[in-house]
Amino acid sequence: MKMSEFQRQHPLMIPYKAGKQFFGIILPIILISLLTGLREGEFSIGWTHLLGVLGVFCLFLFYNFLEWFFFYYQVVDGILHIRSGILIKNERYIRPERIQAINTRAGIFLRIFNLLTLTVETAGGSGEAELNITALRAEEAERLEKKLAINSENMSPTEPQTCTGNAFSLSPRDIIISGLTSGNFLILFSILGVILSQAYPIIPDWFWDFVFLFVSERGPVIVGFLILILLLLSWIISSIKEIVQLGKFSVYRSGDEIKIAWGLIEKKSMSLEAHRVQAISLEEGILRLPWRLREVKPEIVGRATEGGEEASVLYPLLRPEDTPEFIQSILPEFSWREKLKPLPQRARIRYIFRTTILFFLLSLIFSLIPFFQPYGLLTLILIPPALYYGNIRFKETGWAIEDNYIFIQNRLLARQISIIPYSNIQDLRLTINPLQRRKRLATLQVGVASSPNARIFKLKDIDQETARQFWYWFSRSRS
Amino acid sequence: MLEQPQENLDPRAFYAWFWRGIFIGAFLLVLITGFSIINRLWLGWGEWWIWILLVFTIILTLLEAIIIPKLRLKFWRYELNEEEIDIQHGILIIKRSLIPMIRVQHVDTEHGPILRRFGLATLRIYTAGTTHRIPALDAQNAHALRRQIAYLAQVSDEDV
Repeated sequence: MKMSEFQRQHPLMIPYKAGKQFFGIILPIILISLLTGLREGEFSIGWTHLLGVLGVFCLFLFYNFLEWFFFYYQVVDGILHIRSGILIKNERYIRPERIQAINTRAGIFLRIFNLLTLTVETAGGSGEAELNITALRAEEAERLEKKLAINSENMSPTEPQTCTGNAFSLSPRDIIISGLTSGNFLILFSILGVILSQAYPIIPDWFWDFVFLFVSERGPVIVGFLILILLLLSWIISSIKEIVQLGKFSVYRSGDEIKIAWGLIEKKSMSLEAHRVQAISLEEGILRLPWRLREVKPEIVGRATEGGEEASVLYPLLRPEDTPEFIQSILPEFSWREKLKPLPQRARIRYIFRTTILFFLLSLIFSLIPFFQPYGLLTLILIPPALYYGNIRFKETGWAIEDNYIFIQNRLLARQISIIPYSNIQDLRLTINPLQRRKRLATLQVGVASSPNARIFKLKDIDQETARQFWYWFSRSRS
Repeated sequence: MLEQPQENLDPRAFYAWFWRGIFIGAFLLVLITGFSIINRLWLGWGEWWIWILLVFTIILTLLEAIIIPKLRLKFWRYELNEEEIDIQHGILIIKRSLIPMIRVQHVDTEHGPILRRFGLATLRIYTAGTTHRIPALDAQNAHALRRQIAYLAQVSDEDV
């Protein structure tokens, strides 16, 4: 059989990886030197520069040729065997039962040639836990994936649940909504601000003349206007980025396997075993709150830390009316419940106090120190919104125990509803501080395994009677 | 709210913590003496702040060596049955933890020089992600508990 012989990656891996590394490392350096050159007014590109850059690229090519030349892989009896290393030789055998997930990825360059990158994730948090085979022919990748997956399925002790093999995918309309409401633009806004402040020397003088003409007359208005434009710009850019990244998002469940695919231009996919999902959280970002649109985030145990950023989302945009169906068809191990129970009224003041205290102290400082006068007094304006926000946090905190599930809803900026199955709870902790004792309140903490760090779900200031209920629900000897 | 766990720590824990408190106090005292010598010789900053530090150290040592160990011993409780481990501790803020046996990944015992001097050991319980401890148990008892938990954790075999 051909598969049981050592194979190399596709030779196109060489220019692909060299290009990737080159642009990743060299391009920023070039850009920065260009910018500084412009600033100092001495701007010229000579032949020597170009030759130098070309030389560096050739070095990258040569290095990756060696990497390619010394990299072999084969599957023997379902065991993936990889031999690699230019100077330091490395032999790795990966047993199928240790494989946690197999993903494929294809950038635009690789897709032109119908190639894929295969990533094999194994248990453990270290960087060693992830393994890439770059540039495989699509059929080859599929065959390899099948070979490894079939074997790991045979070995896995859990009976695959009879699942209808349901799929959920984002409609084009939802993709656009998801992009527009993602709320990532604030990050981009600050980045753009920094870039603008760095790049202002290359903005032509006439522009500044134009701006100053207005600034002198109605300064604050024009500055506000500029900020508004910048905000709008970053909103548009980040929306497009989100749409391109998450476009054509689909999630598919069959047996114990959850398969996720996404990307409008660069297609990515990953699969993960459902039993590794320990808890899920439905997060409603600020821009999505009015419509209660949710992002589904999992707590996954035993996953490699590297390159898992996108996989932190199981589904980017879920409508309230679709939620029960989504849970039932994609994550039947979990349950759903729309209405949660509120906290006792006597907890309200504690939530408001916790939210406001920082603002209160800050504005106290700013209003009392003469140096900040008279503007320091302006910070007092922040207190009423903080009070209001604290009240909202109280109102939007809730809980429920239903059958074998705990539901915890918290509100920070986003609203988050977490669903935790009984069988995935590692430990349960109640704490009561002296102030809570007076009001017969307690704080609940529920520990869930997650990689790389455990996740603790907190529910502050519940009635002690509720705490007792949680305790008895969780206790195996007292229920 | 809930009935308390039954078992107390070994009363000898008080002596272990007492000596630890004394050692911390002595260490601080050495530091302060060192500073004041340096101050006399080179800095010449005045001496009132050394007295403040001294008073502070004495109060801290009293707390660390006598008051806190007494209270800690009084409030530390645990209970263990075939299905779970129940721990309660904390002087002002009361913390109560419940760890199912089947979630225990491993258990170990540990003892530093002071604990060993008094024949004590600390039991530590690890789940996938969280750690709990029962400090200053009788060493024999701690080892027995460790074996018992390891056994029970293995026997109850729900999947993780």
